[in-house]
Amino acid sequence: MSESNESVQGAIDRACANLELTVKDMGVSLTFDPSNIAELEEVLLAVREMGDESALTGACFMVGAYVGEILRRAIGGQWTMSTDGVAALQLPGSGDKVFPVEKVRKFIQEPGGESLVFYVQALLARN
Amino acid sequence: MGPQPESKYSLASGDSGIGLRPSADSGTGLSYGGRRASVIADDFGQYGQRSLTPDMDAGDVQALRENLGLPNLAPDESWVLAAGAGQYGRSLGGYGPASPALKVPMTRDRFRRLEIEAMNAEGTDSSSSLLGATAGVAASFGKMAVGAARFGSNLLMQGGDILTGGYNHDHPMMQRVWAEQRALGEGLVNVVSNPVAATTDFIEGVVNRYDAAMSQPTNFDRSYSLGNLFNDVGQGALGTGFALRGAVRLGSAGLEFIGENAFTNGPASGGRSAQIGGINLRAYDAETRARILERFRSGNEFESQARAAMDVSKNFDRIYGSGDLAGKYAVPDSMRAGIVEFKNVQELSKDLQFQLYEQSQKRIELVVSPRTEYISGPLVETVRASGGAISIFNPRTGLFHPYDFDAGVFLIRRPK
Repeated sequence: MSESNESVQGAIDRACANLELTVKDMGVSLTFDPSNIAELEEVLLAVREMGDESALTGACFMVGAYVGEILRRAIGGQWTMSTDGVAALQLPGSGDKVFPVEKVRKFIQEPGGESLVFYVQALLARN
Repeated sequence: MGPQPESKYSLASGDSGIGLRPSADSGTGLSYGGRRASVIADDFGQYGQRSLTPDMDAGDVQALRENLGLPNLAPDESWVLAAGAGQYGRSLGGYGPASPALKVPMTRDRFRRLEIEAMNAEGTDSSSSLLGATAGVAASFGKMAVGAARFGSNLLMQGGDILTGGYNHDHPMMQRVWAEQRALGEGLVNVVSNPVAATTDFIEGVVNRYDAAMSQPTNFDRSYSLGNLFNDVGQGALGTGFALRGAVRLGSAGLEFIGENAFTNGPASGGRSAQIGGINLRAYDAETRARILERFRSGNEFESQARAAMDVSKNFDRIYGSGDLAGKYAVPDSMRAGIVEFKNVQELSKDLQFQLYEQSQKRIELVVSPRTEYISGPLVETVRASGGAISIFNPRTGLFHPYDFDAGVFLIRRPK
């Protein structure tokens, strides 16, 4: 793992830890398990209801990081960051890159269409 | 190596795209004996809608029993059968075998004609096949009616339980209803929470049962199983398309009001979010709410930190457009050797995202969900031209069903 990747991983870890602490106040316990995804969708929808754009932007990154971590812990891989600032998880074997943070942003734009649960389950089944 | 396709069925090949749900006006749909399931369902629906009779008496019940070939049906089941035909048929939006004088003979006649056509084509013995098929229809028909009526009875009580916020939930009768409904299968929660997945599983079940029926050793057994299956397909289409529509509406309203956990874990108050994880920011005091929002805002800092630690290698993960699409970009769900896009939407067309993907000349792999009903022709062609693939991923089974472009069908893959 390169030094830069370690730094990316560090930022992801801190985001995940902060998310766990935050949602605990909301009555949700996260365990890096795929079953957490439905609760994370609820967290995002709850934050969206508050109409605080800055909080929602931050929540998207934190939840996206957590979704990516759930995937990484289940199937391996490592975080990378492209030069234009898109966080990606590079999967082992195929080398495919997935973009959980971007997926979370799509979800919050269209909650009825872009289910994170389907996304994660499909990726887990595919890899 | 993944499981190999063992059989295939058509989920329709429409005029301008792929219709993933059988329908009357597009695609070929699931077929039986060379006839589309949607046509079969229409026939059942037509008779059922036209001949509903709310005022059935003992004579009607007896006639129904005889017409169904079930003269020894237990009295309570006969009553339920009649109730299913009349009262619950109407209250649930039109389901029910309805008039025994019209519906059953017409159904049987319809089936007989189809069976004869099928047997003529196959050159099989008609007498034993007809007997078996008719008996199969009758048995299936009886089961469906009994199940639907019991379901309807329980549903009314469950609806009342929901609408009263579980006020009487601890009453022994309500407990029995909830327990019995669970014992009848997990159909209600399944259909209410995910009707498309339930329907998809139903279709897969039909295919498996068709295979099993065709492997029966005798004409009678084979036709009995086919008749049973055939009638279930018709009744199932009625049930899903007509009767359960009302149940879904009621159930959905209940879910919104009391939360879906009430269907399985007992009564509780509050909205759906509150039911699932106690997530209701409005319920928190100002200090807690401010703390939560401030922590979420800190997510921006983490993202900045991650950006600051970006990889130094040149790597553009966005797909940028050129020409008419200059200045536009899209971010695929996954990419390397090609693009992988997961879509959990009802309809898909060749929108800007896929136009950009096409322009990139990368291989496109499209994974849709069981709730997807239609993929446009231009998008199908774009994926095909890219050398890519389309498949349905069913989260309930964990299986991918790839689309065969040449055959125009989705392949069924069974678990090992």
